[in-house]
Amino acid sequence: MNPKYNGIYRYFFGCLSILISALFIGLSFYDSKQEFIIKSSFINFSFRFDALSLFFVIFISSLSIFISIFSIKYGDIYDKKPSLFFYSFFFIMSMIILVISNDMLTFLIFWELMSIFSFLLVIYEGSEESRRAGFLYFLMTHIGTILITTSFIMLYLKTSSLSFDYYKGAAGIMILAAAITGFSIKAGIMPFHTWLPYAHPVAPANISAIMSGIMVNMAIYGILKFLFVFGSGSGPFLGIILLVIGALSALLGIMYAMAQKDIKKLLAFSTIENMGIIFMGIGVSYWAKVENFKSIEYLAMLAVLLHVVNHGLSKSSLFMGSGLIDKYTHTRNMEKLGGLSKKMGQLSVLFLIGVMSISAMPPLNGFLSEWYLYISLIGSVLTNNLYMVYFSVIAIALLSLTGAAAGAAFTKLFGITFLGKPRTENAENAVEPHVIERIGIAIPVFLCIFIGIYPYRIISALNAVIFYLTGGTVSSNPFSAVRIINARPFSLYAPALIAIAFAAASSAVFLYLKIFSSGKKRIFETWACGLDEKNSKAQYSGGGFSSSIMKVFSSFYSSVSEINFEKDVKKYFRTKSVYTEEINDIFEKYIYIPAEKLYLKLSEIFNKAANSENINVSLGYLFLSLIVCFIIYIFIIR
Amino acid sequence: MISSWTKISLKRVGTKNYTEIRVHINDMTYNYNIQHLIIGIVQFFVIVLLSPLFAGFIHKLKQRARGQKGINIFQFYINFNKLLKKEVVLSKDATFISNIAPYIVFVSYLVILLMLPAFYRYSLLGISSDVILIAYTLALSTFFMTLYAMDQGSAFGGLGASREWFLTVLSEPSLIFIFISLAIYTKQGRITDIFYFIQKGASNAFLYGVHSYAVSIAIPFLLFISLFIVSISENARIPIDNPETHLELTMFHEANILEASGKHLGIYEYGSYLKLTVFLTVMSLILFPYMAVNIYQIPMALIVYILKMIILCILIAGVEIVNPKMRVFRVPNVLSVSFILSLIAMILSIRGF
Repeated sequence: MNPKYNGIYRYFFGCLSILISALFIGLSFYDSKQEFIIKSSFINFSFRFDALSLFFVIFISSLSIFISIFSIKYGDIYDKKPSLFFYSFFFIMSMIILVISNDMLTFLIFWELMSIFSFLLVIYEGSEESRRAGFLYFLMTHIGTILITTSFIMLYLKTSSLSFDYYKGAAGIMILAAAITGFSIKAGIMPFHTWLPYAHPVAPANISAIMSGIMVNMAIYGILKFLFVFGSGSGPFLGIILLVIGALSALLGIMYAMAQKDIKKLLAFSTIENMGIIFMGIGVSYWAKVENFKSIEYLAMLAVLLHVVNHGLSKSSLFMGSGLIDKYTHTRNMEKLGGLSKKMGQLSVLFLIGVMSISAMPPLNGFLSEWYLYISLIGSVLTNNLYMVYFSVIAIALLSLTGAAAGAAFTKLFGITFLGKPRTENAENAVEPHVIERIGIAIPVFLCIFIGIYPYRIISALNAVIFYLTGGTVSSNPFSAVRIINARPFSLYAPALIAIAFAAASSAVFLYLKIFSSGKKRIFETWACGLDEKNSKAQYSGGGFSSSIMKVFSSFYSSVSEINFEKDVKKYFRTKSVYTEEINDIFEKYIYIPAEKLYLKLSEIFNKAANSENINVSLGYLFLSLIVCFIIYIFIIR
Repeated sequence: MISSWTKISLKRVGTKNYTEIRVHINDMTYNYNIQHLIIGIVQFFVIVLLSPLFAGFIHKLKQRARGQKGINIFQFYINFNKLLKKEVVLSKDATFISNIAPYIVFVSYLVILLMLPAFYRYSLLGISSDVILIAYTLALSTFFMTLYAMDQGSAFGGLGASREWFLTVLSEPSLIFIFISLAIYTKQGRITDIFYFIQKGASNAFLYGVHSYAVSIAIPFLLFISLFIVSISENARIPIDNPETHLELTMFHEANILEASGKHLGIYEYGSYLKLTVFLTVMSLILFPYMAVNIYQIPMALIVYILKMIILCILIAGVEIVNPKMRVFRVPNVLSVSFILSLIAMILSIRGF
């Protein structure tokens, strides 16, 4: 292809994805309850808009519009290889069609297309690192697909139908367990998360924004569909398991996020945390559904859906921001950044609001969904159910620890990257991003503020989804009367009132200081104990920032640190010493790497045994396999 | 009208009509009128204006115990006024964060104080005074204070920010546990209702011998000790932090605001007094919940509130005098004690002891 058309290619596919997404949003406003089927010679694709898929269609489409606006300008660094926009267009399309598909073959085909396009995008940059990440992602996601397919096959055997219409209430515990395990690999829940922190950072930023803001939520879609639509409503322990796994995943995710120095890796681990929080909500909701505590079910479901939206908005804006940092400073390592706030003023304000939203600071939206989760957890404590009381107390403890640790992690992210002095020349030469890029980030950030301050609209919209999933709604104004089981009007949080109080109090303080204080201002150097310190490396580093917290929670990490220095030189005369620290995932170290070694060992043994030189042994294998086939035929198939 | 409601209920308490008492305790509806709003505002201003006094009182006690002459109790008002008159010196590396962070930190404490009841049952923002909201608003102030610390590119600021989050990560779970166990124990969500509920239960039990389930000795006791430890750590008090020195070994809070000057330093300092007052007020309510429900009880309630605060100030000053500053990595042990105590209180309150 002629390289001079690459820019046109980018504009074409960027605008196409905006238009098609807008088309789908428009389509979703039609009240089309009817199933529509595309018939072909050997396979039928059937689609249906129900409330859940409507919600996800609007969610995916609007987020991808923002990301597409962003990537129309951002993508010019990838012009030499324009397949990015082609792939990302089909990636978005496959996700939109995935959520409206109404039979299992369509679902699986588009699930697979989504996985393949995202795989192609992960390996897009073609470096060794991205190929390794891509392979890991490909492997893990297909293990997930196998489990999902298994559960669908079991559903098919049970109902002998491909259509989702016949699956309502058909899935037993085994089917649900298989599906949830499969989907949680896609969502990056803790024991299965290993692919996520590798795959998200290596992709281009707009793709990471799509993967982290939208794609992981497809797993949430699948789980909601299975648990609340296909599920037969049995097995309360399933909800408790989801709650506990979600809580652990949230805590460990944010603890690992704190240890990272790559901005995108930090955000990727934070995705694991937020998926954990969503899983907690799903667990509480499912448990309450089975145990018939209706109001908790609705509230937790509201927390889940709201957190999906909030996480999508803030995480995609943060990933876009990290992409801009990468584009204009050529590094993602925050130890090499710093002082960007002076060069990228507007971006830093947008990034700050995104960071506040994702670390659940009160007047913003992140706090709202976490607050709902807290309330539903308190509600499940108040039910006095024998098991749930203990697990929800543990979950409250882990959630509060997660909340505080998220604050620490994102203070580190913002403080080290944007504040202070620039640590390298790259950071010093940063410039304000292009206006289209800023607009792409500004829209989700604005929505974050809007949802945080005035959430009544979105809650009444989400009530339709909650009604579809659970058969009830949270009361029209859930802030005024959150009734929980045997409790009175339980908790009150009026976001608009709090926002007004913040605004009024700050303007009052501002006015007071304007009148009663001197307005004199002087710009001077930062105090450095009277030393004339010009070295910007003398600031606090990101590693140093998190080290004291990591030291207390050291059992979560397996870290290897070493200091290299010139051995024969006396202590105070060394010209340099090099400190390296490597933080490894405990799951990777204790589960995945041993499993890989075991697999290689076993295959070697098998290889030796199977490819024997001796003809008698080969004949023996032949005979043995014949007998096994015979046994299978007699006892299982017949 | 709440005031008339209480009168009716007291009459019925006298005749020991059990069911009616239950109904009254359960009836936690908020009907705002202009009286509540006005007294709410007055209450807010009284606490805000008193808070430097409490901090100054603690300081004075400490100095006298060390054998120094000690500052004027009103010294902190004078300091604040003086700081407002001074010019602000901004670092040349400072960004917009340095200009907004002092206000946000100060305002988040103000918003918490708008929610807290101190001596009157209705606070101004009482309708939205959720306990989790209070805990997270405290986290918001920490967030901006640490960002301010990192803004000037000073190594001290980074150190202070790191240590501040270190403390917050450890004390946040116990703070939230304290609040949530209160919420579970009383089955109320707003902090105003929680303490009113305890107050009603206690007054019924002690004055009229009517035992309702809202009376417990164990839970407030455990929560008080737990909150005491948390407030010592959150308010930069001696066994954990020493705000009086500028030595980097002892700096937690002080390192964060090292670069602040003029009015910024003034409102940071005032903010720290407000934060201390927030914690002391919650502690005073756990210790002895007595809030006025109508306008005639306010003088008495105000006197009781100030008395309680003085007792708590003496307690805090006592702890500060007796203990030496501890190593940073011994702090988790102390805070885990606080967490365990609040966990026990949570379990007790689930079981309704």
